[in-house]
Amino acid sequence: MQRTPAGETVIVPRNFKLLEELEGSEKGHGDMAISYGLVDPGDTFLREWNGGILGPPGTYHDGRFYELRITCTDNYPAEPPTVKFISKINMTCVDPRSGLVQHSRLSATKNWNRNLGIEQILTGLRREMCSDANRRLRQPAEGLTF
Amino acid sequence: MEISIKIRMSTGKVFEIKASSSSTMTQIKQIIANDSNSGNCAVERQRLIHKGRILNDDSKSCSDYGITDNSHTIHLVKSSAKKASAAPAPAPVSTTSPSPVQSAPATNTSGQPTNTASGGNSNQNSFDPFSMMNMMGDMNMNNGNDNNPLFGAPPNMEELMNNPEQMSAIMNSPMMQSLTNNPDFMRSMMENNPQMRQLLDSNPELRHMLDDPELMRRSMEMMRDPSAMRNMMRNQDLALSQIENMPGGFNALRNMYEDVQAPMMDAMVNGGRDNSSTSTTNASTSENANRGAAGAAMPNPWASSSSSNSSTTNSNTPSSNSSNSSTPAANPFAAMMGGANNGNNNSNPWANMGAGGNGQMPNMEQTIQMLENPMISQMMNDLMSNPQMMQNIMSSNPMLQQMTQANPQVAQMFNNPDFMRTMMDPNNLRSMMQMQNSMQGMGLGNGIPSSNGNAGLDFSTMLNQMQSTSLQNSGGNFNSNPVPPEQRFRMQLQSLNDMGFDDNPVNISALLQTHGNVNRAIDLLLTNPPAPYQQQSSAASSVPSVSSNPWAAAPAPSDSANDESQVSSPPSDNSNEEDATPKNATEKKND
Repeated sequence: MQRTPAGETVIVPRNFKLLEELEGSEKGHGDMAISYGLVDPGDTFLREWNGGILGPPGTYHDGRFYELRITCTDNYPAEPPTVKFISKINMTCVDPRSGLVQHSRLSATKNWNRNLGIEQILTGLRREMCSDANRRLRQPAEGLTF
Repeated sequence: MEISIKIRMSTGKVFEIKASSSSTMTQIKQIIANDSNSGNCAVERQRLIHKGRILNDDSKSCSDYGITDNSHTIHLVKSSAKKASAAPAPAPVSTTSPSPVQSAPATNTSGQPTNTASGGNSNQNSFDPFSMMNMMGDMNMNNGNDNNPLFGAPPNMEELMNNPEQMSAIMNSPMMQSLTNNPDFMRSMMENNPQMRQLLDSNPELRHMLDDPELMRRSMEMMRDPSAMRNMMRNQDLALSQIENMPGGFNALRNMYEDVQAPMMDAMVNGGRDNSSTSTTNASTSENANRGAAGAAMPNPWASSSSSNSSTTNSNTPSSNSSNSSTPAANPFAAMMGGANNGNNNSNPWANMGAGGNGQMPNMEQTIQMLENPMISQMMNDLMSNPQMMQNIMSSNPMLQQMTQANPQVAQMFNNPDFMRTMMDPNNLRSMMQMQNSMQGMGLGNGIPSSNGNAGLDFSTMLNQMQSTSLQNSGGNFNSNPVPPEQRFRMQLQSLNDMGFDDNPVNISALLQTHGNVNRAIDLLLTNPPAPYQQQSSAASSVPSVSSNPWAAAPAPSDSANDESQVSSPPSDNSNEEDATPKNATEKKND
C-alpha cells in the first residue's frame, strides 16, 4: 500500500512488489547482514526465494550463515510469505522439527502489512536472534539442515 | 563476457571488481584477495553471499550462480581464520599456490601463539579486556536509550563488565570497529597526549605494539566473545598469583608498575584534570585496572609492552605471557575520553545529535566543552569526513535509521560532511545554546509551559516549514530570507494544480496552513477551504523566520512521529511558535 501525492492509497500488485524486492536484492541495497534472491532466476511467478541471514555477533549465531527458503504465495503481499529455515537453528519462533517460522511468534509477520517485505522478515528474524529469549539458546552444530 | 561485480563488505564498504561471467569462484576470490579494497582478505577467509546463498562451490562459475550481468552485488563476509580451516572448505581442491598476500595473515596468527601458549592462555589475544572496558566506561555515553549499544552504554563500568552482551554490542558497533581498525587514528590519538607520547618515546616497544593493527583487531575480536573474555580474566588471575609466589617476582611486578603503569596513570589523570568530576571517572578507571589484576590491591602490572613481557617477565615466570600489554594500548582512549568527559558523562555528542539522549541544557555545555577538546574535534573531523563511517553509524542505530528513512532529506544532510562539520562546530553550538537559553526565558515569560511535549510540537511545525524551504533552496543553504510562498510551494502547487485544484491563492493558503503537506492541504481544501492567500500578511505570520543555524535543521529527523501531530496543529499562535522554535531545535536533540 502506498500513498500517492493525492492521498489515495494504491495497492501495489504482487508481482510489482516482488520485482521491486528482486531488484533491491540484486543491487544489494539494504541491510548488510541479510541477503535474498530467487531460487530460479527464470521463475516468472517469483515464488521461491533463497534467504540468508548472517548471525548477529555476540550471540551463538556469530559468524554463522543461515539459509532459508521463502515461498511467496499468490496472496502475497496481503499475507506474509512462508519462511522455512534450511540451516538448523534453535529459536523460539521456529518450529524445531520442520524449521518453519511460526508467523504468530515473529513480530514482523505477526504485525504483517503490505508495506513489509522479505527483507523485513529476514531482518526481523535476525533481530529475533538477539532477543533475550533466543540469544542464550544452545544452537545445533553448524552445517546441519532441517 | 566481462562483467563488473559490486562487492559489498560487512563494513559497508562497496567496491567493484571486473571478472568474466565464466570466472569460477576461486578466480573471483583471488581477484578480491588481490584488491586492496578488501583489505587483501585471504581467499580461505572469504565467504561470498549472493541472493541468499553462499557461493561455496569454488568450481562453479559466475553464470552458474546467475551472476550474468553488471550491477550484481555480492556480499563479502570475512570468516575468522579458525572457522575457515574447520569448515569443510572445498577450497584446497582448486587453490593455486597461495599468494604472499594470503599467507601474511597466516604467519601473523602463528606468530602470536608463542605468547599465548607459554602463558597457557587459550585465547589468542595480547590484550587486557579491562583496559578496553575502562575506555568504554569512560566514554560512558548516555543512559537514555538502553537498547542502543553505541549510544546508550550503561552508566558505569561495573555494569558494563557484568554485561558481556552489551560489551560486545559496543565493540561490534561499526563505529568502534572502524575506530580500532584505523591504526592512523589510534596513533594520532596517542600522539595528541603529551604524556602518552613521552611514554611511547621512552618505550619504543610499546609504540610498536600499538602500531600493530592486527593486534588491535584481535583484541577487539576477543572483546566480542564474552566467554573468551571471562577465560582471559581467569588466566590473568592465575598468572598473577603465580608470579607473586615466585621469589623476586613481586619486585619485578612493582618495577614494571613504576616504569610503565604509573606514568600511564599520570597521563590519564592529567588528561582529565580540567574537568571537575573527571576524578570520579579516573578513579573508576584505576579501580578497574586493579580489578584486572586479580582483585589484588596492586595496579595491573601487566601494563607493560609486549616486548618487555617477553624479556623481563619471561625470565621470571613461565606464565607471564598470558596477559600482556593491553592497558597501555587502551589507556590513550581513557585519557582521551577522560579529558573529554564532563560531569556525569552525559555529553555524548551523538546522543545529542541523534534523536536519542535525555540530556538537558547543561549537557549542551558539556558537549561543547567536549567538542572543543582538540582530540575530540579531530576524531569528529575524522568521522565527519568519512561518509562511509557516518553511514555505518546511521545504519547501526535503529532510531537514526528510522529517522533517515522517514526524512530522506535528513539522510542527505547526514551524508554531507561539510554540514556535519558545521553542525559540530563548538561556536555554532554555543550560539545555539545562548539562543536556547534566552528562548527558554522568553517562553516562560509568555506563559508557555516549556514542557517537552509542547516544545516538540512547535518545533516540528517549524521543521516542516524548514523542510519545504530547504527543498526549494536547492543548494540546501538554510538562508533566512523568507521566500514567497508561491515560490516555496512551487512543487506542491504544481501537484495541486495537476489534481484539479486550480485556485492558486486558495491553494497557497492551504499549503501555508499545512506547512506544505499536500495531502493535508487537499483535506483542508475539500473540507474547509481557507481564504485566498494575500501577499504580505500570511507570509509573515506563518513562516517563522528560519534560522540560518544549521543546528536548527539537524534535529529535523528527530521525530517523524511528531511530525504528524504537528502538521495538524493549526499554526494559531505563531508569535509564540517563533519564540519557541530555536529552543526546541536543541531540546529536540536531547529528548
